[in-house]
Amino acid sequence: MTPPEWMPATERAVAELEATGRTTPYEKEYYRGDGSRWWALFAAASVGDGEGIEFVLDITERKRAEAALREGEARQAFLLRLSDALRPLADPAEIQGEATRLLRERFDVGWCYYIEFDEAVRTGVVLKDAARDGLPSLAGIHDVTDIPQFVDYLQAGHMLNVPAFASSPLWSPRVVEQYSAMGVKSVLGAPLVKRGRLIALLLMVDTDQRDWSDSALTLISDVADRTWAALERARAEAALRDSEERLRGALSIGTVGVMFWGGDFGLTDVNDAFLRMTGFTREEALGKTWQEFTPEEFHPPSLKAVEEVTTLGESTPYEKQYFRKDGSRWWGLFAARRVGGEVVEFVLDVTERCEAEARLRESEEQFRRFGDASSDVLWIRDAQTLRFEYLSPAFEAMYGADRAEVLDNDHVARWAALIYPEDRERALTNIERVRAGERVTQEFRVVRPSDGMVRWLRDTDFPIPDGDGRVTRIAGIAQDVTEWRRTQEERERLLWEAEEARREAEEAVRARDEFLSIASHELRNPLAGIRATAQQLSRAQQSGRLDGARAERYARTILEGSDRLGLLVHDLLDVSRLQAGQFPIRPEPTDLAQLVREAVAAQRASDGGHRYRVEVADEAMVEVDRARMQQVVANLLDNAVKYSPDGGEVRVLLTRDGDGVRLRVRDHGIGLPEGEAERIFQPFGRATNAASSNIPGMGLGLYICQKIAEAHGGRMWAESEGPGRGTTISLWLPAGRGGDSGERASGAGD
Amino acid sequence: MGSGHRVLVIDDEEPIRAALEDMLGDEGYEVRTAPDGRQGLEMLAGWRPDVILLDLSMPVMGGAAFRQAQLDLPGDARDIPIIALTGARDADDQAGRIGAVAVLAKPFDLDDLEAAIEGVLDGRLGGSDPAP
Repeated sequence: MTPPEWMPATERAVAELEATGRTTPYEKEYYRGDGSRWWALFAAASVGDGEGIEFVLDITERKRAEAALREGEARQAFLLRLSDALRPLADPAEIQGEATRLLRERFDVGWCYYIEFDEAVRTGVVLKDAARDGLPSLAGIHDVTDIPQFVDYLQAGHMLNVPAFASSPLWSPRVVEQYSAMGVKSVLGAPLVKRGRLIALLLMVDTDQRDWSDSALTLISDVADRTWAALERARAEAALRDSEERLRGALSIGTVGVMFWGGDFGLTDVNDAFLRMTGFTREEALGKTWQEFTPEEFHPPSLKAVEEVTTLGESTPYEKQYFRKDGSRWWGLFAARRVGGEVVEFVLDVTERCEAEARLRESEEQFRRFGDASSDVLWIRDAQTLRFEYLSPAFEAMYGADRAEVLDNDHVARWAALIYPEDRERALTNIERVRAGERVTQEFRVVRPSDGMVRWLRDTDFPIPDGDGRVTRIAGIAQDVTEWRRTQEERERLLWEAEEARREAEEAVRARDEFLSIASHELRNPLAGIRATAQQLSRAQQSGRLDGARAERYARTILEGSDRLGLLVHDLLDVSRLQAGQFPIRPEPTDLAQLVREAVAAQRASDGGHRYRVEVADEAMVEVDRARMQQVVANLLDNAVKYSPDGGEVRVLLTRDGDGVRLRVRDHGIGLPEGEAERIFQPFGRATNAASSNIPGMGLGLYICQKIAEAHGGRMWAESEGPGRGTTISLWLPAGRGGDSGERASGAGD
Repeated sequence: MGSGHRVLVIDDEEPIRAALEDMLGDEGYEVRTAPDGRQGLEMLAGWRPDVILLDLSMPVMGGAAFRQAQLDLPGDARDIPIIALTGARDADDQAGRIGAVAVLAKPFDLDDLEAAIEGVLDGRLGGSDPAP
């Protein structure tokens, strides 16, 4: 009935009974009929005659409760030890290592490890495990994708209690093979499932088959929870440390001052940058209010910022001056934000920029004073929109337009409308050139709306590039150069006139030289003929060789030569008077038709070699100097005969032509070489074929005729189809005007 | 006086040609005349004068052009001395330019002309050397 280990106690009780007649009550286990045990409390006493009586009390329940209590106490002790061990640890790997080390030693298993799964539960990570001496570490990454049934089982919250590893259906053949090879026989695991997701698993794995007690199951679950909690704590603390480190790092920035204001806007904390900016020590700064740092005139913007922070939680960044400890001021760019019960404010020292801006404003102010005082128009435009950024007041006087109105309607078109239409396109093109980066000086006219005057402006325009070289603005200076141009033009006109006068004088000298040269030649030739003939007459007379025929021939030669010379002198005098402007014209109403008919009749009388065809209107009244016009017509008829030495028809045609009458005299003579139609009207100008044909003439007749025609407001010209094809000389005269009998003169100056 | 020396007169002024032809013929010269340089040049082809009286200003071919053509002639025709006759105001200059041995300004004196011809023929005014 009594298990063997309890036999000594039983024998001690029998000996005591025999010696004393009674036993001290004692506890022992006893077999039941089915072989199971139960706890009993025995007490026996002798009743004489060697008989005894033994009492037995079943204390199995009490014994079990006592064991449970002991076990609970041990568990609590273990967990307390675990907590003490984990508390100082901050490193998750250390925490895993320490928890699993304690648990492994507690149950003396081969391995104990804590595996954390990723979000999709595809892999698990063991940072540090605990293994019995001689067994390999299982730290590392474990793939669980091929054992979904295992994952599902754990995810459902089941404890993993596998006394016989190899026969469990939870694993894949790979896992069974791999871990069996390592000698794994039994596994106990506690899953951690948070919000339905498997996040970790604490495992005890042994190389022996183990029957895990309930207390082991409970303990491993507790350890899993505590390990998880310790890891969470360590990680949160690490994150907090990181966050604090970041904040501390942020506040240590050297260029941004940071202030923490309390609920009453007293300074509760500042960073070192703020202290450097203000020159205060931390002790001096703390407790001060913003009013103490802020000059009076900057209280309004500060109050506005306080208002914004209070109502909106954040202030618009604003600039103001701040006091340093020594009373000097600096410029700060401030921005504040409410954080919980306090306000954090940041400040950048922008003194340098503000001072630069102030200098720039001062410079701009100076420029503006220059511009406002200038009588030139100074302007600056935005290169993109072409809107005026500045337009000096002189604009009003120079353009004669309302400056304010132009600035209001600030379009290029408004400006362009003031420009003289002819110059507008060019001015706009030049603006484009300036926008493209070119410097342009241009002159254009404006029509002043104020008085309708046209003024000349000279505009020097140039691009203003920004730091990157982009033309962001263009500017210009415009002056009124109307007077200057007028003076300049006057000067140029005078210069031109002087030059013209000089040229004319030179031309007159040249013409006189040429005239003298030709006149000399033309006079000397006939004179030489006359003289030689006369001298020969004398010589022949003296030598007795002068017969009647010779005398007659010499006399005729002298006579003809003298006549030629006489005509020549007459023409030369005409030319001389023409050139001296002393050629009186006395116009009177004259029937040109009548005059022409008489001239033709006279010509016909002395010429038997030509046929005359005359087509003349009945009457053609003109205002001419009759004698001069007779000279002209006679000269034309004479030329027609002279330059058609082979005879032929001379056609005389008088017709109305426009506002006047036109006389045409056409011959069928030697004609004119190409390009010589004008030459024959020059003084001494003769056609080359006339000279080479030995047709006598000095080339003065047509020159004189033309001058006479011009003196009557008419003109002359020649046409010919070429050498040998005849010539037509035309004379055009304006039709007669009644009552005009004034004397007109022609001369070189006309 | 002329003793058969040959004189070519080239002048476009017919009265001058006629007067010189009579005068020189009376003095015993063999005279031919031409109204312009081209006809004068043509005459040189078959007839060699001892002296040429040359008007400088003529139609068709003037004195300067004639002289140029004469200098290009073969044989000794280029050496025939020239006495220039001119009505131009710068008579000496023009005569110098064409290398005339003498120049007479129109109107000229027949005695002066005769003396000039004799001077050329006597060699007092040399060959084709330019006149002083």
